[in-house]
Amino acid sequence: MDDSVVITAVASGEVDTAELWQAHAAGADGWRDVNKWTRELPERIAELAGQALAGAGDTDPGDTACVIGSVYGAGHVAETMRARLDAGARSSLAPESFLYFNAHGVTSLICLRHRLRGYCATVLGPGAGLQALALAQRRLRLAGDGPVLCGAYEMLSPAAARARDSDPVTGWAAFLVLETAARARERGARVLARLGPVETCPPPLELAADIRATAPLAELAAVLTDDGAPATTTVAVAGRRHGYRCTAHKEG
Amino acid sequence: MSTTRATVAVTGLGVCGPGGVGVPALWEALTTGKAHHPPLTDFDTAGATLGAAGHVPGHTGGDGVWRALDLAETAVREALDDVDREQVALVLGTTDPGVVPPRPGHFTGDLAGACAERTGLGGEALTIANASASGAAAIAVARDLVALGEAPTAVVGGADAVTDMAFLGLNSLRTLGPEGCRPFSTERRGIGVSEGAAVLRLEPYDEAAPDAVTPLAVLAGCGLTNATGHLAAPGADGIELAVRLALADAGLAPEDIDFVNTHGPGTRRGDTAEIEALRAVFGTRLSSIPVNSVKGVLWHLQGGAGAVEAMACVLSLTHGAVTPTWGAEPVDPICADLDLVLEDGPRRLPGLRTALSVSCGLGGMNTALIFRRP
Repeated sequence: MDDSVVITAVASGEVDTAELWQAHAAGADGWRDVNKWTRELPERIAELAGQALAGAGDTDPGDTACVIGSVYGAGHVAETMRARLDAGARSSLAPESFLYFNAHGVTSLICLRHRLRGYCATVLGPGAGLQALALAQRRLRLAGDGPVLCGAYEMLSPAAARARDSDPVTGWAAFLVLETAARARERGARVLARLGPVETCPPPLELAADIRATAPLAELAAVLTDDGAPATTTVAVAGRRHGYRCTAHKEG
Repeated sequence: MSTTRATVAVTGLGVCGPGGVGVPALWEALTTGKAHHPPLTDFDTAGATLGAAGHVPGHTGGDGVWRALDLAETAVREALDDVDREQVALVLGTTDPGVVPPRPGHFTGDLAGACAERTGLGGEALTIANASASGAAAIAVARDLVALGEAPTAVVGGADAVTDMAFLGLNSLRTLGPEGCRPFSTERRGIGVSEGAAVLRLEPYDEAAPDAVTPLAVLAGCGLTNATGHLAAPGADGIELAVRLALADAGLAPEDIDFVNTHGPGTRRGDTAEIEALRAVFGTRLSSIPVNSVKGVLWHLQGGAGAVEAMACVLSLTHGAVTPTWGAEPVDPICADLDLVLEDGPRRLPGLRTALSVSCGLGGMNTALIFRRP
């Protein structure tokens, strides 16, 4: 059986966080809008996840796993809670926002919106994009009977970007649908690329230009939807302890 | 799939929680019902449903996420023993997003990476953020790493401190109860939260090798799902699915399970959904399976909960005994037909072979872990 891992669909796009950060910057006057964007931006991320799933064609959501990475998760929820508590405004804490306090809240929403009922995990940290990809590949090697929606999202606040020596960056989400080659062939799915293993390597000495967990997955998505892109692409990211890299070989 | 999967065993434990520091202190707390839940003084709880939280007695150090890191370090060092640290992977679950507001040089959202640096572990470091099921989900993630030979040893579990954000956030969701956790009791009103850290050391185990050291337990199966109809409410069918996936992963049938350690948070919705799920899996046999929840004594260790509860299963297997569900009486009539462990001390079960631990998290996350005697 061919148990190599293939990509059968991708989706990647901006999650415009400008108004969220404006609302944060407005202090107490912006809290209502912060609550609104805290609810709405995860919906935009889930919408992009849905595009990837739709691109994969006829897959069973009941068998589909979901593995998501993020450097910062929805850490802005903690930032606004901190600001409100420091201002003595405990009554302004929004219970519906607390659903996103932990990075898994967005993952949960993706599962809920698309009725995914398979294995589910959220990875947090600087290498999370490719760590999530490695985790998804392990799942396919051990239980390759269903696809894995593997993705990353980032809503890096200006403070969080500065803390990582980065200029502010807009929000982003990127998703790949992974399957075993055998499973993809069995259901007649179009294969975009064959994926090599995620390898650990020494972390690069210089900080990457794009520190978002979405960067490597978005790069893969861009290459796989560009007919003029090279046939083989290697993406890499620096985690706290190790570097990670992965190579995709386009098919078709 | 053709991939070779190694059997994965638990070979070491480390813990600090409201029962104290170290594995013997945890077992003492579970069997006596005594743990440390002092009034909260680090922040103002006026107007909140609860004014106390589980605290690790005698453990000083930083606060917030730095305290979570301190607690994790304590647990990891206990579990490591004299293991060569170069290749050891560390997988930690947490609910905390990190230092807020973020500042240069402060770690945010990578508890495992920071703890690996402190403890000198050279393998993969993965931080898992699966809400209250983070610790249990981390165990499932680490199991895959070891089973596939990508890490010769993994230290895995979860850790969290009690912060004003998490505590008052849960209060805003009306999740806290005035008496902490009273699982399966008619008196339950919500949860109490605790700080703490718990980790298991996982290694491959060749049961056929004559010179293999007998481990504490075998991690036989894992099942993870995120399935619910509403982000703020658990779904019985999602919990049921997680248990069925764990059974299939372990190659076991429902009748092979000897003991169930529940998530048992002490919320009406949580307890009810979990019992409904267990009834669906085990049918009428559920009434003859000992069932407990350790949250009545430890309260909810947040990111560490799933790990300390997995550890309770391992300890039950090694001691041949299960521990009481403290605070459960008077028992809710929906549990009247269950064999809820309610004695004043451990119940001896010399024939105990397999234990199932269920954990759930906000957003509909469900995990099921099955441990068996080697």
